[in-house]
Amino acid sequence: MENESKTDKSALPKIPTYIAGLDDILHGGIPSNRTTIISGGPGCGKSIFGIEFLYNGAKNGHPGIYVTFEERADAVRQNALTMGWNLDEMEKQNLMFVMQANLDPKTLISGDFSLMGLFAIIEGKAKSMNCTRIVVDAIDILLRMYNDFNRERSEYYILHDWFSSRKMTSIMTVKSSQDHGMASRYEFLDFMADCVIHLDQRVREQISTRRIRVTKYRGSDFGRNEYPYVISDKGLSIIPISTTGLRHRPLGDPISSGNERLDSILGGGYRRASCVLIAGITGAGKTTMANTFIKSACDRGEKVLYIGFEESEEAIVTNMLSPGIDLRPAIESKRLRFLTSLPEAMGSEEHLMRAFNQMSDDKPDHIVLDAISACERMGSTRTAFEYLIRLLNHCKENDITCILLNQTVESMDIHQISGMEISSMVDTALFLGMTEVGGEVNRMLLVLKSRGLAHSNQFREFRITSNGVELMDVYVGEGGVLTGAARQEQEAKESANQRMREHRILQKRQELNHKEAAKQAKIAALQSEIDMFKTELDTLMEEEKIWHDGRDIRARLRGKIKDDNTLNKSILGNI
Amino acid sequence: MTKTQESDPKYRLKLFIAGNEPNSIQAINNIREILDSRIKDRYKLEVVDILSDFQSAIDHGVLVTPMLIIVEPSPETTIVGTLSDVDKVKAALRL
Repeated sequence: MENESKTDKSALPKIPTYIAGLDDILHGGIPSNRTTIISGGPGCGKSIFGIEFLYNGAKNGHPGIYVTFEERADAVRQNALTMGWNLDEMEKQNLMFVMQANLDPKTLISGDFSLMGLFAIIEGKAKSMNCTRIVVDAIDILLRMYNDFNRERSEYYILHDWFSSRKMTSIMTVKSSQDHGMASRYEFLDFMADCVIHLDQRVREQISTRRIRVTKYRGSDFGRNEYPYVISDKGLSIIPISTTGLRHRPLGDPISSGNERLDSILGGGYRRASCVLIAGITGAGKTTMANTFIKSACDRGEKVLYIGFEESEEAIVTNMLSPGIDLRPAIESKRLRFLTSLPEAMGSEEHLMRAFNQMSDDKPDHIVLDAISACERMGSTRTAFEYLIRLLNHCKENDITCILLNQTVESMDIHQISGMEISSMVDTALFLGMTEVGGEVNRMLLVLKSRGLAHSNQFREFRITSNGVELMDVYVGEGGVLTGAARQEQEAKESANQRMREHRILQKRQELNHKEAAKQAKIAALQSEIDMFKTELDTLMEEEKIWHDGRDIRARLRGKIKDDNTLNKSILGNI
Repeated sequence: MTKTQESDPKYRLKLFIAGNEPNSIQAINNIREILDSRIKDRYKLEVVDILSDFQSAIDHGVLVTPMLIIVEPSPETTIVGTLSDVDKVKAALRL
């Protein structure tokens, strides 16, 4: 294993760290016979990194020395034990040596000194153990003894040189902080080392996340991104999402959803190794639908992992008894496993690693995630998105069917019901809704997507009975799909409606005729009125003329013809 | 532990050196000079070369050399370096 280069003959000899994911980023491991610097703030896992490297090596028969300047050797052994690494046992087999190098702060300093003591111990121990691996935790504590920048530099150089001349592969941890004074003080370490790895812990949305970044690797290529990592009860795990290619296999054969009618609507069932989204409003039956599938999968002898963020295992098992789904035999036979936790309990990387670890232990055929909507509580939407994408990716690569539940508002848009913009990864999407018709609340199901299979796109009514999910016949009529008692009434209502409509047309037509007749009558009445007015006017005009003619005769008789002529004219003109 | 002023206290010292590196040679010379000038024949100085005896370096936590451990008079005191600061060494020895 050691000094083995995977691809190129001329490639730098490397030592695999066996830290999950790290060797991918380092393209094989840390440089053999050289110095690697691990820098990071407090609580980043620098010490764990070192111990894990040595312990993994020891397990593979490569002895290592761990020099601790900060913690007591006992504390180191105890901490390692919490990760399941029994250093005591390794020490007994002479595969490991934990050296406590505490510098008594009461020690007086008088004149110059050198690190020969440390070298002598390491050399002596290394020879007796035939060991070439060493971790110094933390180098800055050792160097700070000198309290002189130039001296620290030269002592580090001596140390570096001493290790490489003895063909030792060393890891030295160094504290780094946001404080610039500190960072620049030990910056020279980064320049002198052959490989530099930065660990970083940051808090985003009140949830801490950890990132690892390789900043330097002499003579080798490496993954240059910042990768999330977690410290779990199995040590450090890095998730190199960017190095993961899309190695997805095509979708598998259809497998039963646990309900025969649903299978026929889906065009055969869910596809193996696909991603199934069951979305719907609260209480629509998402969990029941998922557990219907779980039950049938477990009955077929397949394994399922249930990742729950909403309910406890006990609550789910009890709740499922009412629709007649008994999960207990599946749990007893270890075919069904629950992994429940509160989303807020840890960062998304830790959630992810817990899921990955459980999956690598159980090797499930299917997983159920209940629910996407809860994932946002791990931090931000982005965190949840990363979590989902990585989980889905992992499932696809390992041929695991992924059933995602999502609580949504009443919407049938696939982009909305999947949330988090993961709709493109979804192969099958079911929408469960509730509708109120005639005082009854009924459950509805719609297949929005069933990739690669011919599926029904009609709304279906379904019921949750004591025998599980039961799908009704589809009914297409006026007003969309009909459910419940209303569906039965509908047909009778339809024929009555038809008669009613015909009658109303007839009625309107008659009304129109009446109106037409009324119009004609009104026109006639108006015309006669006009004629009457005309006759009256003619009569008046005639009377007026007669009156004027009479006056003219009287005036002529009185000899006043001239004056009245104008008046007479104006009256006549007006008429 | 008796603390009689009159009777001479025993001086027991251990000096860890690394072969014949200059610092170690200086330290041997310096401590001998101090001891011989003040408490000649009343001390016991053990010189340990850690290059040939790394186990005692582990046992005593000797990371740097030279390192002087004053075992007695107690409490045990540790001084690292060439022991060139005579006053400091004398103070540590309570001379």
